[in-house]
Amino acid sequence: MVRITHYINQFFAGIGGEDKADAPFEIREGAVGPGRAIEMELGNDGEIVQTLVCGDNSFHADPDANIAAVIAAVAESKPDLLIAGPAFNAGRYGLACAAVATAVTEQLGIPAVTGLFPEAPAVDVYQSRTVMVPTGDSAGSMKDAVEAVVKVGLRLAGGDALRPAVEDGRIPMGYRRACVTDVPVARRATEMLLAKLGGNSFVSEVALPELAEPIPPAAAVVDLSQATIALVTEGGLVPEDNPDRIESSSATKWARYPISQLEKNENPRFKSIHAGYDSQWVDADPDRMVPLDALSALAADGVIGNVHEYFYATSGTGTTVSHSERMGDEIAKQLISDGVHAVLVTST
Amino acid sequence: MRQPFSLTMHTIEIGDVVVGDTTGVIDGTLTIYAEEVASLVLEDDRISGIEVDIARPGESVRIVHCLDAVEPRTKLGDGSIFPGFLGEMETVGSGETLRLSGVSVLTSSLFPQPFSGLLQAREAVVDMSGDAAAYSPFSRVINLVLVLTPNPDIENDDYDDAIRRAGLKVGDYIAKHAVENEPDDTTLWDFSEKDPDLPDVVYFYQMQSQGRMADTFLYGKEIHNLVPTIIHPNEVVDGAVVSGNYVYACYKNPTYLHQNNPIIWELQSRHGKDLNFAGVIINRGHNYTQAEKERSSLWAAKLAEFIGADGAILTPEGGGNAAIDMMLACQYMEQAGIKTTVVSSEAAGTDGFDFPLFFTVPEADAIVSIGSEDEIIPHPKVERVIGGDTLLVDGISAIGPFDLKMYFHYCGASQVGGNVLMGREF
Amino acid sequence: MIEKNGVPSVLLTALTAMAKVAGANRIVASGLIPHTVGDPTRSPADEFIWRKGQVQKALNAAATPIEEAQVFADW
Repeated sequence: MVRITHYINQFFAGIGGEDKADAPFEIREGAVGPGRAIEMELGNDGEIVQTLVCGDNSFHADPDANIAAVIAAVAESKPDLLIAGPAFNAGRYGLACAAVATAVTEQLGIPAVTGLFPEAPAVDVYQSRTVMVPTGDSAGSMKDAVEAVVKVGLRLAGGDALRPAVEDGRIPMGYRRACVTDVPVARRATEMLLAKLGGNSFVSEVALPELAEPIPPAAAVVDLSQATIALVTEGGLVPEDNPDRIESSSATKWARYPISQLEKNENPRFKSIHAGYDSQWVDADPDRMVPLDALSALAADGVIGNVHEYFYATSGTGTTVSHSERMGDEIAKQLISDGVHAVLVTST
Repeated sequence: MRQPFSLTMHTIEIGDVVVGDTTGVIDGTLTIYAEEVASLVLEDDRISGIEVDIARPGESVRIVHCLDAVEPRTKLGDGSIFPGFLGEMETVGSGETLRLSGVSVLTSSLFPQPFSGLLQAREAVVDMSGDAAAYSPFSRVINLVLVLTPNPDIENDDYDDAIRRAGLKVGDYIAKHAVENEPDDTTLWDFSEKDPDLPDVVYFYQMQSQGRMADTFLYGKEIHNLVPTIIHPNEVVDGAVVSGNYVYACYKNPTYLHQNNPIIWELQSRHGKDLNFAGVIINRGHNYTQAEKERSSLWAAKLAEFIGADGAILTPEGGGNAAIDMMLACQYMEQAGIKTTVVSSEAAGTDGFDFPLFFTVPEADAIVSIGSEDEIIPHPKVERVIGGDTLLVDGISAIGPFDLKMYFHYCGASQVGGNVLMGREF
Repeated sequence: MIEKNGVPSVLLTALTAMAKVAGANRIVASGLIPHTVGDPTRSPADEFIWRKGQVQKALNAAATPIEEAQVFADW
């Protein structure tokens, strides 16, 4: 028998509608409102031991305090599962349900599930952190919503790991994992091709990206002869003992090194730790990846003002987009604070 | 005169491998006379030592430093199974071939000289049991492991050649000791008859060939400078293509997977039923510049048009760089009116939240995923390790337990479909 | 990300299509993957002159006002 704590708002608790949205947090014994439908669906598999109620406005007036109250109540009753809502397309209620479910999972390690309309505002905010099943947009779909919430909830309460979103009947959390499958790659590829050739429907196993928002180009350098130019590379060029421990693939770190050191290229010598290209030519002459000799010559000729005193390096192979964006942003902020006017980036 | 491109493939299924006094097969058990294997390998003085070991599915055994793997095969009658490496130069893909299924000859070794840069043999691990066994196709076959010790005085490139020949030679030697056995299965590989009502499907088979340690060989010659070319499916499965690729453990296609390329075997099994297998276009990936990638991809699309293909399946060998070449080929084929499906690996980060594809074109609307190179796989402590004590990754002790990225699992993310994984959304 | 922060940033790369997908704005096609601003087939003196030319092209790109992503071709 799975013991469940249920979270609902003032409306579903029967306190009242919008005029009662400031109803304070309270704890009730047993099932209330939709909790009874949940118990019907559970049959002998579980029971609601406790219902937590909070008004929609009241919750958002002080979410931290209300979440703390939820956590205290759940920590004391130690249920096997928390169900929040379902909240359908509700804005404030949906956000409260998702926040409560997230907090209980993350802080207490107790599985939690909520039900939301896929376009409800809470989905975007909490999708990656909590288990959500899709529902209709109003309480008219309560029966189906309860069935879906209970089905996923019981599996989680039983200690089962999440399965792929489509198999679980969940709103995807947004991450991907490799799963063992009975259908070989070659058969999947052939079936998909035959479907495509026959004009039949097929489902690509990875969806193509929506095109990224283009980044508006930065304003051009007005006067190169006065400009400070910096060199940046993802070619993994670092001192040979790799003092900053930049990873040779899937890098999460970047570092900067004085160009005076690179110019000498002895004690330390520079070499590439990048695991994605053959670095023999760059190791023999680092200018082939970080063109310091050429840029210095152009500075001496007066084409540019001067060369920024550091070059920046990371290793760009298997590096995730999120780490790349973070590192790029960090490097950009550093360059701006150092008064750099333009940057030349070399990429393998 | 033999029939061109009509290949009779005899299969003997192997259920167990044991060490004994005579090499041969009795009732599905392959006995290996280890001393004879050792002396065969040690004929090459570039190899100074060998240990022969056996790893079976389900055993608490881990194999490390894996290099090439070969399925034991030999030609019946005239001919050599790996022309360019063994025997006379000739084309393969016709006549009769004997294969021993369920067993691989797997070479494991360190190299005599230190490496730097890309072109190095990286760690490649196979677990024979437990959860990590899902991350290599070689967890599901019996591996006759040749643990080799290099002559310390030779260069890496020379040793690389010695290892390759050792694996091929032992594969041929084993199969030659089973030529008197009755095969369990005989299949005719012949695509000369086409059904005009079925679609013509071509396989675009992209291979990695960037230099030593990252090479693929076609009839004994590395394919660095190959323009995409047409090859008969029978040639691929009959020993024309040999691997020398040791860089990305999860992606590489050892010789075993060229011999048993699952896409080719699937298309063979469907020829005349759902489709006509119209041919294979092989190509090197990892071309160096945009212009070279486009040249190669346009060329491949052009060949697919010459063949008259209605559809194509495309597979790369490698990560982001290789994906560009393949995706461009997909784009140009689609623009030529050839429908495509592509097989891709993913790189969604260790937590799986990143966008999974390296490079895409809008035409790639039918993608089969074989999982992510970034996943971290827990490995238990095992009873026995074959091949070495320490992984070539952060000095990790090979006996375990440890966590290891998918990247280092032997053929775990095999893009030709060697493994059993599928990338799913959670 | 550097352009996003308002600093003109020129990407020298052999793989211009990849650079475009990645969202770079000023792209200069250059060299080969393993040596973007190197050409080991030339003599050291020639290679330096060639590299200086590539860097000059990149600087020109940084000084060129653009409305959208642009590849400054090498061939």
